Parts: sequence; structure tokens; C-alpha cells
Amino acid sequence: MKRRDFLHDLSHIGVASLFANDLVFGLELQNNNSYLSNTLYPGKILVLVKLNGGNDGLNTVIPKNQLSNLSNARPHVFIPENKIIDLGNKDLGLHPELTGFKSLFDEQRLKIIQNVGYETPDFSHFRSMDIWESASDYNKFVTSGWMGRYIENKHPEYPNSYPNTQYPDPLSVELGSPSLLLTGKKSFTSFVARNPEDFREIITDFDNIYDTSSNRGTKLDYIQLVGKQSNLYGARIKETYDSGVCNFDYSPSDLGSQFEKITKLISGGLNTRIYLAELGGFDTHDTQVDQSDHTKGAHSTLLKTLDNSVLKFMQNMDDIGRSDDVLVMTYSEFGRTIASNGSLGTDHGTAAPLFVFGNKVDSTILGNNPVIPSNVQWQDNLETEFDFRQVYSSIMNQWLTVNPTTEQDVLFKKFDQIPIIQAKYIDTDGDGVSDDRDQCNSTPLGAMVNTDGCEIFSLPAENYSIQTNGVSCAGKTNGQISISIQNTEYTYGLSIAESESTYTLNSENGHQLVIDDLEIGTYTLNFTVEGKQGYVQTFEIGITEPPALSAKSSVNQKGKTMTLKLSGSDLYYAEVNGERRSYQLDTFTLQLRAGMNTVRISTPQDCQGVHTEKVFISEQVKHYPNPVRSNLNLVIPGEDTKASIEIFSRSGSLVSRYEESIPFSRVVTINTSRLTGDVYVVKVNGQTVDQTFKVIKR
Amino acid sequence: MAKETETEIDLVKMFYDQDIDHKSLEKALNQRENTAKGFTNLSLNPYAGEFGPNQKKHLLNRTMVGYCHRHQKDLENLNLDQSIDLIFREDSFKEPTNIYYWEKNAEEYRERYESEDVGPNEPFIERAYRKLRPTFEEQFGNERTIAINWSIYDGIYNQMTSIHWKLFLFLHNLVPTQSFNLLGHKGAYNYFKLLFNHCFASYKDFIYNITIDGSMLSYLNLYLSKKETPDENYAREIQELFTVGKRPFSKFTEKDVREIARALVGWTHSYEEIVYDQGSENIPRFEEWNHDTGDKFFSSFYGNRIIRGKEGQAGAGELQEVVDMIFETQENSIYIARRLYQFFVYPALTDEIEDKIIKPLAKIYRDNNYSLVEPLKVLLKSEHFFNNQIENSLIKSPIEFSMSILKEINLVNDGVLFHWDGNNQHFSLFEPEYFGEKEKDQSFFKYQLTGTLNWYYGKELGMLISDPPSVSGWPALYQEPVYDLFWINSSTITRRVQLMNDYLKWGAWLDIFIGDNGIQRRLNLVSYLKTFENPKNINSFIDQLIFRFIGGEPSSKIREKLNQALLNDINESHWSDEVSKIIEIQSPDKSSYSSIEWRLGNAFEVLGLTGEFHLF
Repeated sequence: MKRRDFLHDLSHIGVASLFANDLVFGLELQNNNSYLSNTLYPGKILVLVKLNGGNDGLNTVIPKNQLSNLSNARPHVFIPENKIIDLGNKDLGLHPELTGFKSLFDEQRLKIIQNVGYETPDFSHFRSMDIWESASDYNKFVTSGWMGRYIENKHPEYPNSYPNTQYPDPLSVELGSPSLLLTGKKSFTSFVARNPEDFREIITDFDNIYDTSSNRGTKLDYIQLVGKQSNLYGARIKETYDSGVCNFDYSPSDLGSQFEKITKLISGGLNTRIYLAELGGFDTHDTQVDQSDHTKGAHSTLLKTLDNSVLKFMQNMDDIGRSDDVLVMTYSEFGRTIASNGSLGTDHGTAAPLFVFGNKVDSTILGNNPVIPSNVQWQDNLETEFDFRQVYSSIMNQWLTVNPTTEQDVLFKKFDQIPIIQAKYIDTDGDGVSDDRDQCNSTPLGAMVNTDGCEIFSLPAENYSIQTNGVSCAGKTNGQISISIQNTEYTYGLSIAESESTYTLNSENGHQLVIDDLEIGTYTLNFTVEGKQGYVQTFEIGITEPPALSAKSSVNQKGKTMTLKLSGSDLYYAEVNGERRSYQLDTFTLQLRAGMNTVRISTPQDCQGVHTEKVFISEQVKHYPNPVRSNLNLVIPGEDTKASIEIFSRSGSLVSRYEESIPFSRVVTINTSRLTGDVYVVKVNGQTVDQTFKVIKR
Repeated sequence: MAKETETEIDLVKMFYDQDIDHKSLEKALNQRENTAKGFTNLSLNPYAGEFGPNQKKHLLNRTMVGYCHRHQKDLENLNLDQSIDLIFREDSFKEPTNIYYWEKNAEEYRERYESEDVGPNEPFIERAYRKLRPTFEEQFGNERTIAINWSIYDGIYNQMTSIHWKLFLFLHNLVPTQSFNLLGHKGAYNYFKLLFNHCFASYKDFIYNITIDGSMLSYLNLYLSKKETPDENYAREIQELFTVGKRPFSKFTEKDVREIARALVGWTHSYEEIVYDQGSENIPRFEEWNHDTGDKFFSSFYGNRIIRGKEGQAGAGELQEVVDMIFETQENSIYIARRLYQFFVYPALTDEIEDKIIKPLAKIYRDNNYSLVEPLKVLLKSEHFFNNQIENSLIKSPIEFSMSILKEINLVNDGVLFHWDGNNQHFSLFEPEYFGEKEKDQSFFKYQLTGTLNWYYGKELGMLISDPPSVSGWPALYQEPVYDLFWINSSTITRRVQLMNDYLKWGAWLDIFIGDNGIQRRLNLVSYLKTFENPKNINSFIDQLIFRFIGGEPSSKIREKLNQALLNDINESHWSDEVSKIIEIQSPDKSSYSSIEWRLGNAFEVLGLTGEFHLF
């Protein structure tokens, strides 16, 4: 069983005194379910880096066996041979700025795939980037992104009811502006975390139901959903970002700062598995290189930024022990023309090399060196050797996990895989445990597994329907437990520790059982399944007296009322501050006053008990401005003449405390100018006031 | 898409033939229809139904940059025909003036510009630089950037009830440049003027002129193109984005791109003259030595046209031939009609809309010498336009969002300064002497506001005028199927709420402090209340607030919450008394003013936290 189903079901169990014993699983329930798997394994991360504008592949990964033709074909931008970094392999070299790539290559953490593109290339940035991000054929217009579809395939219900307890974190995070890549068929699947450090809770009570059959309703529904998600995801992003670390500094650049954010989010414990960073400026039609030194110029600056960002990211992941779990992939809409143009640049081209980084990559260089014609024509372009969707398919199959519908949903058809991840790290059965650690390598998809990758047999808790009848009166022993089991394909054993008795539920008794003559007490029911060793499902059941008076109260501080929901009797007495009334209703509302109130609920039968509650109703304090720069004004209504005001820091420590008398204007002003900019909790206390609120100090 | 574009049928057939994935192809094609729900009245016949405040608001929503009550007032006694006539008047684009003088003194200006002085609020864009080689900061730095940006915000803020500035935005999105980074301030200014001056002109003339506009020549590299290796950038975008659209709907070929690149090579601009010299003229140059004088051969999409290569300055004439050739295609009119519809009515298109709306509009455009306004007049007067599935169905762009707020409370022309000194509230309305000259100066506020709108909200809300993300414009205005949903994401929604709170509740922060507390500029409550009919009646006041700020009927809770926020422990007659003490006596009562102002701020917040607040 999947843990998310289990947790989901907990809220639907019909027996009041039932709880499922999590020891059954030998797992910690609080560990969030890994998004890409069902195991305790912390989960793999994919970081995509978009190079906007069309990266000049021939000046990035340089075919050294083609140098003389290259220098003829692109005299304006050609990199001199003595400056090229030699990979010592396949006659390939790297641009002189890619020293970090070189060291990652030497550490077998870089995979280079040559000549990645698609059939019948399109030379428009927008169309070609759409093709890459949507994973469509050249002549097909698809309006969602492959990663968006991947996430929707994994989370068919998204975005409704997300975030939730299983997935409290965004399913993907973008550091730039929203892209087609993470646009699903139904909605954006990403959270845009441009300013994780600067999250402000937007107070909304967006809880309306809109008519989504109209355009207007659709928009309203969407805005409301984003508002809600923004509150919830934003809080998680800020929390993890604030506690995250980044010990290897990125050199200052926009991409570097995006990677710094990703680093902090991951190290701070954000359970997001897909990140998208972005670097623009690769559309180097002119002045791609400096005229006097081709190793300098716009393109070289971009590569330097990319090189530094990836290298530092891998070092940071080493630092926090997560580098085994990350994979970084670059992509760009196309390469550039073989021939250079007179403006020291290159124009829109076709195939180009693609990089994948990670501890687990198969670092063999894949593909042949591009062939440069000796007499290059202006419109000549490079041949595609690998379809970009082969890369996608390989990453999904070898790094992420797939189910039978994934490839069809995401890529619309099958593509031949290429080796990207080393064979021993591949997770064939998609249970989140790579083959080298997987002792059961053919776990059915979706099965819950342990860290060895073996299935844990389990049944949903709702498989067991248990009902109790309490004793009619204290002292009697006519309590009853009725059991019925839904899944009838197994034979179940049941032992009750307290009565030292055992039972069997099978087709003979129709998987049903009634246990009579029980006295008041707690009974521990242990269910086992024949042939499934190690499986135990435990319930604790209470046999009780007739229902006691039960009362649920909710207090409306603003309206100064208390609403009671009662059960156990037909007639109730309610006493508010000594004043008694009777009600023949289950639900009613009592008027309270500011200050301390005593509410006492009873029934005509003394044995049913009394419900007593003390409620403090506070006057409603208003405060402004927020954010505050220096003076914080508190408007304290009511008649109190004094109030104590305490200011707590985010961590909960008391920062300052004031005893203030409340003037006739009822405005108390607190000077906050010595507080540093942050969020503070302000507590106002008085005889009839007890209020807490947050303020932001600028 | 349209049946007229046979390409599509071919596509489907092709996929069937190849037997690949036809299901998802069909799905993708159908998706477009799913995103536009239940459009009826697919007719351009003149609308003859009720033309009351709701219909007027709808018309204004789609033709103004930011709706506000004064536009509604302008249509108060007009019928639909009269309203259309009013709306299709030309507006003006004021010359940018110096509003930066609190930051930079006359001495510094004298050093920079060839003139005696640049006084407050004087025009100064056309002045030459004193030095031959100004520094980067001098070329691109603050005072002129702010002046030009403000002249755009000012034009929108003070716009007449005219469609002119909305058309300006339409053109800026359709044919964008990242203006300021290219040719300094004058280049940007020239580009904006060019857009503004062509809103009511022939789109064909506009395309001719924008091709050789300095900032466009720079933006898409035409000025760098060399005849041996012509640059294809502009040659592609003029077709794909500016005139005939993307394949497969339009079938220009890669060869067409190369041939147009050859026909246009030789055009460049006079960088030095534009950037440094007196005046603000756009000065394109045709360098005959750099022109490809060979013949250019085009595909069947352009009727296998041949443009004969020309020697000398005659080569410049090939541009007109290219433009003529492009505008002769049917696709040009369809593409422009489509873009007009998507911008002014609704972005998602269906086959039926293509057939019954787009095609007739395309014809009007062609028959009227490629006029943008003639098809729009018909469209905005049509039965189709006044369809309640279209009303209040779009998410405001950031500029519409922020401007509708500022315009509604008239914060620029009529603000009140506010300061809390720790004990007392000070309003410039009651104590003008309490405040200094700088904070009282309207131009200082304009400069501060421009900075906030540009570099804070412009970026954070995802739309900075003059800096579109790419040559395609803003994705929310073109990227299907998401379209206007692009404006809203977890980051922008937070900023929108912040902007609303800043301007409607707390007031705009001026970067000036007295003691520890900053000064804010807030709405003038006296004049604002007077824009309402009978504001003393709380229910009528609430109705009017909702009508002004909310697109369509709000959920019932909003009315209740507004009532709570405004009354907040006082009763209705007390409300009337307080309001009358603000608007009915010679000098308003300060305590009533402060009390009602605070309540109104809370009411604005209620409105600003609804989803409807973002729709128009």
C-alpha cells in the first residue's frame, strides 16, 4: 500500500476509538513520502538549466579533429587551438572558460552528449524553445511542457488539494519566470521562488466556490488556488531557505544566485524534486567574441557563469551529502550556424551538445564529433545525431521513475534510450531503490517498499470495519465488538491480548465476527494474514459506558460568542457566568462578555457528567502600520486602563516588554525602531485583552 | 484552427498517415476550444441591447489602460455609437520633462547638457550632450529614463477617454524593443513616439517605419548585417511575429527569411547623431556599399515573387517592396485581426470565431488600408463583444492593475501627505505648513512613483513597459493555452496584494522621513468622497465601491465585509454624520476625516483580497 493512501484514509475511518499502529510498518510516519518513490530513500533531484538564445555548441565543446575546417568556416569567432581545454578523449576540447566542467569530467561526473537536436529544425527561438520544452515533433503544436506533464502523470489530482500532508512542498520550483516546461495540461506545476527570503503571508479568505463553466469562474478559481498555494508553499520555501546553508560561494551572477537559492532550499530540507534555473543571452548574432581575443567576449562570460554555477553546486551538494541524489541537465533551443557572420557572431543553428552532471552519470562521451565541411556555406548546419527526447526518455527511465503510462503521457511515444546513468544505479522497478541496493528488483509498481527495495505487505486500514456496542450501564458485561473484513482473498487471524483469545476470519464465517459479553475496558486487536509473515495490523478498541455528555465548543472572539455542539442528551443546561438557561437543541450560541467567562453545560442525568469551560474573550486590538518602520500603534478598545505588551522574536524569545497605561484615545504607541527588520509576534495582555498578532518590521 | 488554413487538416492527415499519436494531436488541437467557454453571439452585427453602466464599464475595461470612475462619467449620457466616437479620438503623448531635479542640481545638468540650465519640469530630451562621449551612466542613467518612463505613465494616468494608449500597449507588445538598452534615451523616446503616432495610422506604414527605427535596427541586429553574411534575425521576426504569424498557419520558408535578409541588408542608423546630438529625430541610413544587389527569389507563399536587386540608393526601395509583398498575403490580415481580437476581446480562439469574427475583421482591415482602428470600431460595437462570457473574464495585466488603482483614487494629481509623528496624525490637508517643499512637490512624487512602478513593481509583477521579456512580447498576451493566467503566480499574487495595500491602505511611501517615520502620500478623502453619489448612504456607497473595483457581481460575503469594515461599531446614521462632516462643511473635521479614512482603507483591503479585484 502506498503511504499516502494510508494517511489519506486515516481521516475516513468510521470507528471512533480506533487508531492504526504505525509500528506495523517499521517506518516513521512523519517522514514525508518521497515524491518520486514510496521509500524512505530521500529521493532524487533533477535540476534543469535553460540556456536561452541558442548556445553556440561549436565554441563550447570543440571537435579538435576539425580545427582547420572550423577556422575557415568561422574565422570571426574561432577559438585558437592552444587555448582549448583538452578532454584527452575523442579529440574533443572545451571552451577555455570551462575549467569546472573539465574537473567534473575528470571526476567522472560529467556526461557530454553530442549533436542533440531534432528532425527538421526550426530556427525561431520561440518555436524551437517550445519544441524543446513541450517535447513535441517539429510540426506539432503542444501547449504543455514535458516536465509539467511528468508531474501531472505522477500527481493526477494536482493542483486541487495541494499542498497536503504527503506533499507539503512544491512539486517543482522555478527560479526565473514561469516557463512552458513546467506548464501542465491543467495548470502550472511549479512554484515560482524568485524571492524565497522575502515571503509575506497574504491574508486571504479565498474560500469561495466558483462556477468554472464560465471563463470568469475559471479565472477566479485559479486566482484563489494560487493565493492559497502561495501562502502555504511560500511559508515552506522561506522556512527551508532560511535554515539552508551554502558553504561554497557562487561568483556573483544571476544564475549563481539562482543556484544559491536551490542549494539553500535543498539543504534546508525542501522536498521538491525538480528545479529550473535559467541563463539568458546566448543569442550571439553579434560580438559573440572580442575581436582582439576570441576567448573573451559575451559568450565566454556566459560560459564562465555556467561553469562556476554548476561546479559550485556540485561542491555544495558534496558538502551536505546530497551529491548522489542530484542530476543537472542543460538545454538550449538550438546551436548556432557553422559559419560565423561579419558582426563577430553566429546565427541560429541546429544540433548542439548537451551536458548532464551528477555522481551517478555514465561519463562516457556519447556521439561523434560534428563534421565541418571544408567549404562551408552560409546556410550549412550540423546534423542531429540524438533526438532531444531520447535524453528526456533516458532521464525519466534511468533517473526519475516511470509507470506504464508515463512515456505516453509525457513524450507521446517511445524513444530509444541512451546511457546517461551508470547501469548499476538504475532503478529498474521504479521503487526508488537503485538496482545496486535493491534486493527485490521486481517490485510491482506503486508497492510500498523498505530500504532494501522489498515490498512491505500491507492492507488499507479501512479493510477492517470494526464497530463497538458499549455496556448498557456501568458494571454490566454486555459489551460487543463486531468485525467485518473487506478484502476476502486472505485468511485472517485475530488475537485479543486482554482476553487472551484468538479467532479466525475466513470465507467460512464470511469474514465476519461478533465478540460478545465484554466488560468495560480497552482491547488490543491484532490482525495477521495467513502466509504474510511480519504483517500485523493493530487496533485499540474501547468498550465504554453509555455516551457521556460530549461538547464541542467554538469561540468567536470578534463576536464575543461561543457556539456549542453537544451530544448525549436531548436537554441541556447552559450556565454562563452563573446565569442558567435550558436548551432542547444540539447546537446553540451563547453570548459572552469581554474578560473571563465560565460556561458550564450539564444534562438532567448527573451520571452523564458536566462540561465546564473557562473562556477568555479579548477585546479586539487593531494595529498599524504593518509593516512598521518605527512606531507601532495599538488601538485597544474596551475599558481596561492598563495593558502589558510583549514583543517576541521569530524564535520565540522575548525582545521587549512594556507596561502601558491606555489613554482616553485608546491608542498605545510602541517605538520599535531598535528592532531589526524581521517578523515579530506582539502579545497584548490586559484584564479584558489577550491578543497576539504578527508584525513585520521594515 | 480556422478551416481556411488548410494546413491544419493536412497536419491531422499527416499524423494519421504516419500513424503516430493522433489522439494527442487532436487533443492539442481541441484544447484551444476548451479554454474559451461558451461564447455565443458570434456576430459582428451592431449590439442593440441595454447600454448601461455595466456595458459601459466593459467597453472601458477593454479600451482604457486601467478603468476608473472618471472614464465612466465621460460616457454617462452617451449611447453606444457616441461612446465609440468618443473613444476613437486621438490622445496626446507629452514631451518628457525634468522631474529629477531634487536628486540632481542645475550645476550638474549644466555640465552634462549643452544649455544654460535644465530647470524643473522643463523638456530636455532633445538637448544635445555637452561632452562628445558621455559615460554609460550619463547615456542611460536616471533623469532621462525616468522622464521618458513617466511621460508614458503620465499619458496613461491622465489619458482621455480614448483607446489611444491601449493601442500603444498593443503595438508595444506586438512589435517590441527593449528600448532603453539600445540607443540611449532618445532611441527609446523615438521608438515610443513612433508607436504612439501610428496607432491610428496604417499598420503597413508602421511596419515600414519601425523596420528602420533606430532601436529596432539595434534590437534585431539589422544595423550589423553584412552583405556577405546577412543577419536573419529581423527578416524572420518581421514575418513570424509582426505580420504573418507562425507556421504552420503561415507558410513562409527559411528561404524567404534569407531572401528578406538580403533585401534589407544595408540599413543602419546614425548612432552618434541619435544619441548625442540636438533633436530627437530617428535618422536611418542606407549604406549602398553594404547592400546585396542580386535578385531575391521568394517562395509560393509570396507568389514566387522576385524582387530585383537594385544598385545605389535605389536599393533602399527594396524595403517597400518587401513590405508590399508581405501585406499582400491573406495571412497578414488574418494574423493582425487575430491579434487584435486576442488583445481586446479574449485570447483563446475557436474555429467558429476564426470564421465568423476574425475573417470579417481581416477584410475590414484590408479594405481600410491596414487600419487597426476601423476593424476595432466594428468589433467593439458588436453583439459578440457584449457577450457576458467575455465581460470580466480576463486577468488585468500589471500595468492595468496598478494604473486602475492610481487613477481611481487620483493619487498623483490630488494626494494628501500623511505623517504619524509618534503621537499625532498630520495631514497636509489640515496642516500644510507641517510639510516641506520637497514632499509637497508633485514632480518629486512622480519621480518616486516612476521608480517604484518600474524597478520594483514592474519587475516583480512581471511587466515593465519598455522591457518586454522577448521579441514576442509578454507571454500572458500570446502564449496559449495559459494566456492571462501567466500574470498570476505565487510570486506575483503576493506583490499585487502588496501594491494594493501600499496605495489604497497605507499610502505611497515617499523616501522622506520626519523623525523615525516616513511620509506617505494618500488619497484626498474630501475630493474622493465627492466623486460618489450620496456617499452618506452606506449601502449606496458600498454598491458604488463594488462597481468601481470589482469585475462583475461579487460573492455576497464581500458586501457584508465591506459593511463591517466601514461601519466597524458605528451605526449607519453615525456614518452619514461623519461623512457630512467631511464633505458638507467648509473646512472638514479632522477627526471625522481620520476615522473615515481608516475605515475606507480597511474596505479597500477587503476588495483587494478578492479574486474579482484582478479581473476586468
